[in-house]
Amino acid sequence: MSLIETALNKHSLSPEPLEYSATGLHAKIVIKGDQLKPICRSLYSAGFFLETVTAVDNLSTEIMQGLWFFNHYKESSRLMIVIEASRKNPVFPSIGVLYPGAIWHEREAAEFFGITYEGSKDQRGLLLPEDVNFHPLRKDFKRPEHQITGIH
Amino acid sequence: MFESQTAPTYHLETVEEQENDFILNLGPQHPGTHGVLRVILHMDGEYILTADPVLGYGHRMQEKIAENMTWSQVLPYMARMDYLSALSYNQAWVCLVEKMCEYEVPRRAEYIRVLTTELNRISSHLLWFGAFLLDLGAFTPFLHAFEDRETLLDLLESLTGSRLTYCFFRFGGVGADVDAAFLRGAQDFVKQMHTKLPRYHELVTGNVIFRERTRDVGVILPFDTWGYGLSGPVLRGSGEQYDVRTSEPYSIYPELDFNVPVEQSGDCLARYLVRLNEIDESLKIIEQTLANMPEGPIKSKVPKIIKPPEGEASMAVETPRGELMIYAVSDGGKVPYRVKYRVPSFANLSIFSKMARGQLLADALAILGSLDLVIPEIDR
Amino acid sequence: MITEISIMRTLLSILGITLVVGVNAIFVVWFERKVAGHMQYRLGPTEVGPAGLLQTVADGLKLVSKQIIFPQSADKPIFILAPIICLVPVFIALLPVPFSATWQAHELDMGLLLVIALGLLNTLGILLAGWGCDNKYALLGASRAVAQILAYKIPLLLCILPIILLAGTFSLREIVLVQEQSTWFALYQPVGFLIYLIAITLETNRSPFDFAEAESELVAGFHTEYSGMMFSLFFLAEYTYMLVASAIASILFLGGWLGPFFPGPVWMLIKIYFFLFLMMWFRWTFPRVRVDQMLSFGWKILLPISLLNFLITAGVMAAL
Repeated sequence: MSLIETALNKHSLSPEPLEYSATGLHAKIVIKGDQLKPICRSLYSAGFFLETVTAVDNLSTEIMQGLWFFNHYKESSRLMIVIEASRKNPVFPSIGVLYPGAIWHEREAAEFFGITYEGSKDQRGLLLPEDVNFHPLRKDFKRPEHQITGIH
Repeated sequence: MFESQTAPTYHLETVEEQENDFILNLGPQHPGTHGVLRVILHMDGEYILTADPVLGYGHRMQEKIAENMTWSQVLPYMARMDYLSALSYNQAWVCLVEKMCEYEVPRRAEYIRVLTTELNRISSHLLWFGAFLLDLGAFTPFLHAFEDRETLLDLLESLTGSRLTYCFFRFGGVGADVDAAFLRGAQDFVKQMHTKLPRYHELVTGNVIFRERTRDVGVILPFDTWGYGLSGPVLRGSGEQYDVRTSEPYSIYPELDFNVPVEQSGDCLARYLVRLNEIDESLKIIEQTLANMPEGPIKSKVPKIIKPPEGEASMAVETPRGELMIYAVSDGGKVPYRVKYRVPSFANLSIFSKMARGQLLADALAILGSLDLVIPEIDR
Repeated sequence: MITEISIMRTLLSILGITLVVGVNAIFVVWFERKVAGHMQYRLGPTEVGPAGLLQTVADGLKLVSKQIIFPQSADKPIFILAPIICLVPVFIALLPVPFSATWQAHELDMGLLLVIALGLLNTLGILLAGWGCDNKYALLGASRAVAQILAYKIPLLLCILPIILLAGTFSLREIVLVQEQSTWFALYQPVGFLIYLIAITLETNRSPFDFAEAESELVAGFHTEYSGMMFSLFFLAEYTYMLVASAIASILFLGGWLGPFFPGPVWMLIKIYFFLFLMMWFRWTFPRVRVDQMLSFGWKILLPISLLNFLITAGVMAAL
């Protein structure tokens, strides 16, 4: 039994196995938003480390996919957790309490996609300038007209 | 020689940001941050109460750029993220596309890839070695390391055409074949490093001031590692034997015989030793690839226009700084639908504010140096 | 009585000291760059003048011609005063230093005391520089310099005291003359000699103890905001201070101008440059010590040892 199955055992989830050689992912699960924190707690106690938190914007289906990547130091087992939300106002739970490293990833995804991570201690932006009012990785993003906002 | 066995830390019972705190704005232009990193420090005298890194000064929105480029046009941008280990990034991208499109790679090309990537890893570690000691106030090792790095850069330049921002790997192979002069140069370099590494250890590792400055400074405890997603030498300094080259083997790494150096103490000295030992291991790998370099083509036939089938894939490689993971989504078109770079320095820097709390300013800069950050990689 | 001869003598002394300071700065900076260069697989300056000897002159001219920038929030009088307070004392400290039995600007009974007292003023200059320019890095650098002064000055004085006991005089010239009768004091005082070597590296703010300007931590420390000629005054003060400290070291411990074959001033210069070379060697091979390590080293190791050294010397002297 792989580490992923062991960790997710009590959540009665069956991860969708993927062909590792073709995708580089060992498993993928699609869950509901409120399941994320309990699952992360199991993953944390099983020693899974957080690779990244990101999202994929689907313009045609009007869905914002929140993605969480986990892996394990002892045995390679990359797990991708997917939560789907409406792309109008996507809200995902924050896992910054469990995985402190997630805070930065969440800050980045939040400003790139306009996602709200509920319960995050730190809601500031990370990489973009402080005064931006757009989310560049949204698929309907149009480049704003070139403007100089002042020399800092 | 010196009395203090452990680094003194500030007792943080009363840390509340106050209006008349001494706030030191470290960077974005500061000799100790090696790039455009800014850290806002709340201090009490020389002690740091809180440290808040401010990122984004070198931000170029690489992920959006990738969404506007064809799959092959993205390749040159790889070298612009981590300019010190451009070939590892090259490898991650070509391997990802090869995985999605199921391209074959000739054996000789794989050997050349591993050979050049390991040379690149040594040059990155050599630069780190110099820069870290510069942070500790020793100037000379920097130029000694650069002397060795110079031969390495000349060598790679003769093969790839550039000194730093290589764009050498191709989908299904590499850009150029190695010639006898390159192989001889690589052999000479290995010989040179075998005499130089013991000298580095003699001059720096054994120095009492150096040991006192790095031992027990910036300790990363093992139970912090996975919460912050650390990887690379920063992780291996804390006793976790995780290296993508062995845990998720790619290319010809499973056939090669090398160790993953690990140190248990988790301090700056441990990270230093891990990196220096990694140079040794890389030399081992280079020797093996030089000895077993197969004959044959260096590039397989791939279509001119690359259109990976619809789907998603991820590819992880071990850069000198840790685990780089690229996740890409293809909609079957000529341009990637979504590309996500999971860069090692980003996660490794996120633990800095925790490590810097209660430390002296001098130690905080030693810690920052020991993390081996490349800021354009963090900012992307 | 002010006679014509004494006026002439004073003028000549001033001229001589200025010359020594100027030529020394030009030569020592060149020497340091050459030493550093050869320690780092480089050649150092080669272009200007024979073997790059005039490089420092060119650099000096460049610095003089540069604009002096005053930070808006700087305390201007203090800002201007600081480099002068740094430089002037080391000029005066050269007065009682004998380069041979006759080559001496001014013989003072209390020469050693004067040099020690003027050495303290250097830190005052650094403190003023750090405070006056309203820069946080400079302030941190200045506070480090002040913290460090207590940690090295007391051991420094405690290893000079046995020399005074041995020589029975404060006059630098007579200390050398006493050594002519017996032998170099370094042989009587090896521990004191070593502590003195460490202490002068601390005193001159040189690596591995260059906290006050710790480049990778404090950008440039106390002189972060200084530019042009005002910066070069600090630079000049540092190198002149190194000269004074080395001269005192060779007088106290290595018999000053004493030596066979060569005339006195040559031996004096050889000894001075030996110490200068040692300080450069330290600088280009060691990493920087942390501030608290230096303080605990100064208080917990240097101070007890030098105190013990002094007490033993005094005891032996009393017994004999």
